[in-house]
Amino acid sequence: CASDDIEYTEAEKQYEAAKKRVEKGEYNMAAFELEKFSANFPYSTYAAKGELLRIFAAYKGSEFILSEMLSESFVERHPKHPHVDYALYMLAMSHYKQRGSESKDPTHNKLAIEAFKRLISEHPRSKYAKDGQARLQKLYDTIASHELIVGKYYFDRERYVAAANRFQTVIKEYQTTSAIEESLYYLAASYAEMGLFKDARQMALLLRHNYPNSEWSSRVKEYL
Amino acid sequence: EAAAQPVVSQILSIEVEGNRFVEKEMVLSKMGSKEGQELSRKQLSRDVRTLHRSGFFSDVRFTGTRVEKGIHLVCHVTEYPLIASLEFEGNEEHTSKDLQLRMKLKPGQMFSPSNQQSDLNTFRKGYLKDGYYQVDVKFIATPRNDGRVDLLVKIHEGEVTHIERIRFVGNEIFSDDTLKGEIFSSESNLASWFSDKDVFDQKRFGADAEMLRQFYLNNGYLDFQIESQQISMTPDKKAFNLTFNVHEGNQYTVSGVDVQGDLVPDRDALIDLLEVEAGDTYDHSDMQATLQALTERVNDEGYAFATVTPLMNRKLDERTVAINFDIEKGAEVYVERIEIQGNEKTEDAVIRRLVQQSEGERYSGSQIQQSKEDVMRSGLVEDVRTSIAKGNTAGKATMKVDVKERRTGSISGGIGYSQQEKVIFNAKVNETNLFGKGYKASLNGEYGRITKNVTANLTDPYLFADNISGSINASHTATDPIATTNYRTTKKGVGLGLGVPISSYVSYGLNYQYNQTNLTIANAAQVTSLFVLAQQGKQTTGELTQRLTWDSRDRMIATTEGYYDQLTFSVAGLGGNEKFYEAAFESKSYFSFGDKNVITFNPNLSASMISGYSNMDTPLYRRYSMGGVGSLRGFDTLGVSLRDPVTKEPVGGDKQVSASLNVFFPIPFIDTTGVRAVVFADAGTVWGAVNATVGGTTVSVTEALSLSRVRYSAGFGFEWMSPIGPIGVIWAYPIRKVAGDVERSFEFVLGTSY
Repeated sequence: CASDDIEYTEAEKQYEAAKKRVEKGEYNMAAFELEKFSANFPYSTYAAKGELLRIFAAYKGSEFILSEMLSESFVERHPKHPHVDYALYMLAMSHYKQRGSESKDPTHNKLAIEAFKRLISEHPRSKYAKDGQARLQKLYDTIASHELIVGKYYFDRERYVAAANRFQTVIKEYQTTSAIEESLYYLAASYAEMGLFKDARQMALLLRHNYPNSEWSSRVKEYL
Repeated sequence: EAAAQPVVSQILSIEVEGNRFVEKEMVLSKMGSKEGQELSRKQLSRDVRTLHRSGFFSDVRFTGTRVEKGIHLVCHVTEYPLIASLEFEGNEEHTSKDLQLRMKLKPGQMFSPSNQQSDLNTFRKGYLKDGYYQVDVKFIATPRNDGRVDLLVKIHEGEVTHIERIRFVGNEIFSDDTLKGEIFSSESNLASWFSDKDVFDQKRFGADAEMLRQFYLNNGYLDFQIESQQISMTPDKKAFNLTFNVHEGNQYTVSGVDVQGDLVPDRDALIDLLEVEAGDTYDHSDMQATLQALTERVNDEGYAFATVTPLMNRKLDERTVAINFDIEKGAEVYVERIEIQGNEKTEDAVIRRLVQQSEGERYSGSQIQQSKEDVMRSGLVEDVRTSIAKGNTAGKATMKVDVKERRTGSISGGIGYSQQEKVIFNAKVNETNLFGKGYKASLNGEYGRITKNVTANLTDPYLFADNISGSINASHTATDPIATTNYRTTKKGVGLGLGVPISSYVSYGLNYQYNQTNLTIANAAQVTSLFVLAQQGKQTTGELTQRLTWDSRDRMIATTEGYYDQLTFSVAGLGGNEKFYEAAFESKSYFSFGDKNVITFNPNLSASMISGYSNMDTPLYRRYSMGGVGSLRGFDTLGVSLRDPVTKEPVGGDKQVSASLNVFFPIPFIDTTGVRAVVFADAGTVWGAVNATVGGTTVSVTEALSLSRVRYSAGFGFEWMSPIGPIGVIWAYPIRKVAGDVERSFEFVLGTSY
């Protein structure tokens, strides 16, 4: 009917205005206006488009907690939307941007891994999945380094059971990460400190066999 | 006909009708029934329930059209209206912005009954907490053409309800006044300003019964019961009367105590912890303490989920009770992993080193409690929570340490005013968690007419891994006190320090400081004190200081509870040409009263003495003078001192003692946090004998300790803990002064607390 048409034109106008703001780089203002847009035109065909634009604006405006919440609710409310892969990607990226270094809280690293894994399994052909794959490696590297750092913390304080536990986690769960060589070395060292020389030797052999050129392989000799 | 064909009822398609805001796909994804499945009535009714619960629909139902191959299913939904706008009316106690923040109903959200109910509860709780018992909230929704609604929240706040009278019925042993003192609620009276206990609070009223029960149980009345508890409104409907009907019963004596069950670690260790003793009147608080002590002891042996039950054998005729503590240790728990969370800035190890519980070790409740306190006291976090979750295998648990970091960096600066300095500028950059490694660093500068000063400090609280702290400092100070003296000094210094914690509150510090002081005469034509002339030129001091500190303050700024005591002993003569030793004692205590408007009493005491050895005099700039904030208010800097008999310059004594009392209290009608007023009284004096030898001439000034020379002052002031540091103004008036003293009644202080 006529009023629907007027509303449609108004929605289009406001959506385009918000888009212009985003193009000009006024992300936070755009995100703020799009919140009102969503309340004003909930039934419009622009509603979902507006939500996606708001996710983008919040993300570009470095409001990662907001973009995280918005993407999460978009994925829940529009599970079959043609651009739901984008929302999943933004969810993962929002965590990715909030992640800490290996010596800090690993929570967001873990959440980013979960979100990227979901994106890749549900939308394997999405262009975003490819990008996610590349970032996953980096996230695994950080988490594995975190385990290694905590392990070394206990190793330095001569709490070898605690240390060995953490090194074992790297070896069991993060085999493809850069932390693996050092973890093998320290696991061998921890076993040796606990008097488990057979296990120490086994780890040393494993390290030398798989990473013959690693600097850790040359340091592990004493446990052979 | 009996062998009819099975009815084919495959779902051929599912359509959704009536949805405007919610997408069809979302409805389908929430449904268990899918295209291609056999139609199941059970599944359909489950779907109706799930969709209802999603909170979007006021009505959900299914219809189906049967065709030859199966069924075309249609899901009819009616959405709740969306909220277009939200307005408030009648709220004064809480701002609209504040209310909106806590509400689920907001523009773009659904005006659903569950959201309404949840918000009504939020409103109730929020207002009841403050004593608004007549609060009434209505949601008025005006539909728009497009089906959305404009929502008006109409609030009638009513008045705060106070308690007029509290009555007890059935009490013979304890008087009404005694019982009134034991409960939380209180009648309106003069003391009500300090607390809001006279505002009626349902929760508090509920807790009152428990308090009465505790009180009677603590006095051995095991049969005590509250028969009823009533609230009635006064006839003018403005206040409440509370009534407690009680049955007191008999007083019991403990006839015997014992432990049984899982005696971990052993019987004797547990018996030692019993605070309940045979022959005593039964006391419930001892009982609670015993239960806690027993549980904690068994916890510490690795049994995280131990329970202790007191088995009570009552003999009515003898009025005695025998107590047997039954211990069930439960499963032994090892902490497999300790995960630290929320440390976005701080390195894992900086928090982890404060956690005494180690991975792979048996769970220890007391260690975890201690660790929490240590993390709080580190000053790096606002809050810390620990939780224990069952691990991957039985008997193993994961411990989570969740911290909320606080801002540790601060830049403060300001302009101060003092009579001598006129205007003085200061700036301070402070970071107590440098690079997230827990280093403490500060850079402090002052620039005034008399004093120009730069100090840098760096401390690593865990220099050698085992919480021994190491610090390094450097400073440069130039003073030119033109108004009172005829000399200038410049001082350069570097220092190294170690700190060793002895217990949670006690620490030991060892410092070495090397200073070079250069004193020059400002005006050669003017007659200058011989005490000053004796110090002319460069003096070097190598000083070793030992400190023993007891610090149990609850916080460093605006302390409300705790003690700070420090004993200092230092010797100069290890390097440098000065030779002296100094001993000092300082003590600050804090006690608070009241729960709403806290009043803090803060008595302070300090005493010190300094003395030269090997025929050396103590240096001028280390001797004691008083005056100003942190010393003796009402007097100017160096305002109280020993004076050169000829030139009247302050030359300092070699002994000093001072005492002060601050009473901090909130200012009525000013509700801003961090603003408070203070009234204070100070007392102090310096005395002793000082000598100086110049070119064979020796002069000395001696003043004995005498009560008549103790200066007193009193005054008042205001303090504001501003975001850039404390700001204060004080007015102080000397009550007793001595000829030669320099007064100063007004002081404006920046950056230091009183």
